[in-house]
Amino acid sequence: MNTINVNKTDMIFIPPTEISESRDNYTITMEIPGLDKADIKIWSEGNKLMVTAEKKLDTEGRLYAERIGGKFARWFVLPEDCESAKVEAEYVDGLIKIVIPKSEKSKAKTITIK
Amino acid sequence: MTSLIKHGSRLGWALHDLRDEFERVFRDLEGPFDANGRTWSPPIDIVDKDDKLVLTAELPGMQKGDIKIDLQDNVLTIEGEKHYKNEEKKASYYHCERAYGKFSRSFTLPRKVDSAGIMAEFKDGVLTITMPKTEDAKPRQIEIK
Repeated sequence: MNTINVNKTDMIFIPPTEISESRDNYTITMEIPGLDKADIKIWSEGNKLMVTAEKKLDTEGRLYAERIGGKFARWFVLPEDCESAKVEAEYVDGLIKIVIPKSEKSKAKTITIK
Repeated sequence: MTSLIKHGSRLGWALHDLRDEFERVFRDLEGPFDANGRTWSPPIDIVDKDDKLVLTAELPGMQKGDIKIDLQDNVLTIEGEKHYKNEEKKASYYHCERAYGKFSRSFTLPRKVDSAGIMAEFKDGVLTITMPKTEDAKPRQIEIK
């Protein structure tokens, strides 16, 4: 399993997350600024999606300390109507954005009146 | 309210303090709010390196143009606004933990810095401000004569 091993005791921060639905997709957006792309692992199996990451901070000589670093893991259960094989993810401006397409049959359709 | 209480009594002063406290709380509440009505304040670190101070602020999902940095008399102010963006129109939200809105934070720098040499960089949602210390603020070893 290609994830970062996270113990419950390691988890000291939970990134703020947003889940939205549009006509064709579900989108998960997580705020995790300052990550290395290589430190983010997203993994899916069946209808489960897991995001693990490690935020590394330079904490030596801190005069003022509000930022929280460390590992975290977050699981999501995907709705049945999505194509978990076609999940796409990107990391831009400190946001992890995961787009989960809906299956063809569950997409919203416009019905024309005959 | 205070006029009912004999002037100078202990209770009178206590009520005075209470009123001031209420006023302070309501004044503070006028600050920026996020989508859920809470105030939003980005986490900030300041690190003291030998010859410089490095400030980092977490501003995920913001653009360079949304941030303003100002230094005046050793007081550094960072201001900005995180805009609520819904790229996919007609999207509905199931779950929203992210905060949006304006913020403003000021810091009195603990060491003197050379304002001409300040550099700011914004990458992956992290704002990094590097402030070189002035010559007299740098640590130096003192030799025993």
